[in-house]
Amino acid sequence: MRGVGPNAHIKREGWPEMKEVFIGRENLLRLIGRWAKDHRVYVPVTFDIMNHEETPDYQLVGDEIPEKLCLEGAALAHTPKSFLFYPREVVAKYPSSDSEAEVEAPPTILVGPRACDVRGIEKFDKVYWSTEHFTEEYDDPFVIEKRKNTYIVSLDCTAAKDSCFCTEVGGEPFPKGGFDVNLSPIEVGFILTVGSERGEKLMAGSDDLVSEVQPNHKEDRDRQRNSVIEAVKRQNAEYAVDVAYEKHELGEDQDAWAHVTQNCVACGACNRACPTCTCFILVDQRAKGGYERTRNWDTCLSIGYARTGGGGNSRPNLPSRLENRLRCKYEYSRDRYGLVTCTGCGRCIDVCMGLIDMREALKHVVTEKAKA
Amino acid sequence: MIDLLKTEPAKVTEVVDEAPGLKTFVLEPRAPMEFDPGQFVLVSRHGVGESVFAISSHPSEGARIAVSVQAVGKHTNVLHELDPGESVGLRGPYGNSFPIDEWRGKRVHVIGGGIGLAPLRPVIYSLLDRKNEFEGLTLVYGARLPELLVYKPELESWKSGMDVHLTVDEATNGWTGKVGVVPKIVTDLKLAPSNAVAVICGPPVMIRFGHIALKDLGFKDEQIYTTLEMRMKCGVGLCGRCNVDHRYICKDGPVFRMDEIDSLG
Repeated sequence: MRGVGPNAHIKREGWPEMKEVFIGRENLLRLIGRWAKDHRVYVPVTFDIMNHEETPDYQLVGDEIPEKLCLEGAALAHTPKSFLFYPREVVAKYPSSDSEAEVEAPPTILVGPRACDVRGIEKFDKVYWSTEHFTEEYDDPFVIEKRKNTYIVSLDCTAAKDSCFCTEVGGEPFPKGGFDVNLSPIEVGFILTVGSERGEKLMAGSDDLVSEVQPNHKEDRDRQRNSVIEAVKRQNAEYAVDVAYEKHELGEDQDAWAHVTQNCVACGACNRACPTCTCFILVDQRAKGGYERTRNWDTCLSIGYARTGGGGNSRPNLPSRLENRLRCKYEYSRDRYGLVTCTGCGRCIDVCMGLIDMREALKHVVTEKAKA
Repeated sequence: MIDLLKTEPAKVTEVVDEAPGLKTFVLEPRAPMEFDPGQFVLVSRHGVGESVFAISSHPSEGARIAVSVQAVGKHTNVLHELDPGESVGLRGPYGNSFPIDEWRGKRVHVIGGGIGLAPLRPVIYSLLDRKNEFEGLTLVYGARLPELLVYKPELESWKSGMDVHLTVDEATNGWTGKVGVVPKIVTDLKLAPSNAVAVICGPPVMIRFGHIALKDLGFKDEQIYTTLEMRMKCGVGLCGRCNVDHRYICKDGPVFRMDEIDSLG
């Protein structure tokens, strides 16, 4: 069982046989159409709501490719985690002799994850697949089967959102590995990179749609990539701290934490929007013919998260909970999984109704430590 | 691959009233459960919830698993309504265990407070089974009131195999034994640190002051073991709930040596 999962096919620092081809926009649409015959294919589309253009998000491809397909810009509104780890899912039924919870894992192709999302999936792989932490008996079919059946067709970012900061946490606005297929938008079409054996399967039989990459295509891509890197770096200059992102040790000063938490209302939107928040709660309840156990996304910012029977709570106040969340991203995940799990996607900033900017928060608590 | 979040049915074969609000349930798993002292299980009343409990029974009797349950919340109150013959959901055992083999040749001081004796009972059973392998065994155990002392028949029977010191915070109901909180008794007894280990479990405040008392007697953190508790959902390092810094109580604990713990949070 071990070693044959998704990890076995994914070389995050570049698959040795990583192959690059050119594909024009029309042919890409044909390719997506071919995929859609035997997969659920989700593509990024733009939505206008009340004449306001919202951040693009995933839409299921039906008979036609959606007209508002958007392969440019930055990260989509949702992370790919919803496809690997459902917000709510029945994971057990009782009495089990009568019925079993079904593992739902339809073959799915996600077109649109960005580099920050691909890094987010790495956290899932660490939590659910890592042989250092788990043995076969702990395999969780509900996540693993979805992971196995979900193909990642990532995209280079062609612009930065105001909240993007991938370059500040060791990332770049284009993935270098961890995808099955990557698309780099260029002036005349796309450079398509095959990043895994699984990606090769996706491309099988589609040689008619692609051609050789020309030197000017690569120049165009490199220019494009560099300009987005520069844009992300430029907009984050004001948040720069002296400590390298992977060496962050956040301060202990409770006043500093209270300061960054003052606008937090514990809604948990940042948890839900985050590509690497994997915590869940199990809920047992009555169901037709017996009982069921559901797994639901949870939020570490809620007061009930760590509350025990009898009312004990190891994190009774909000600053201590936001502190735990940021430490989880920068310290705990690094110490446990060897990964800083903030990927700089900026979604926590986009969704915060208290307008908390995690970059400012981080700067505040890191700086407080330096001052102390 | 198995569904790790799914429970197996277990039959309640015996319910022991230990103290007001505190019952021990003896459960018969579908198949005998092999476990080591210090490990825990998750017990659920279908449709209500699931809670984590230290296994408090004898490690060599996997066909009869005991958990001691204090009725403090919604789920534990429902568990308290269970009668023999009824069924619960059971999964585990999970977590690490006390390294009893490493203690051979040493004096072992077991220090417990209240329901904190539950995870220590399998340790005591194991120690007494092999008591010739240890230089000596001590139990210091206390509760707020005499009626809150648990496992009373065994507290008596253990006296033949180890030095048992019982104490209560408040002497009521004609209590004639020691009076005073457990850390104070530890200090009064002058437990010797030389060639010894101490295992301590109880309410957080008792662990904190017990730790201080042991340090004052000359115990090093490397000689002191404890077992921690946090709210848990999955028990296997996935749900993220039981973290203390980057460690999960369920995977990296619940048993820790004091030098592994910076603070008791």
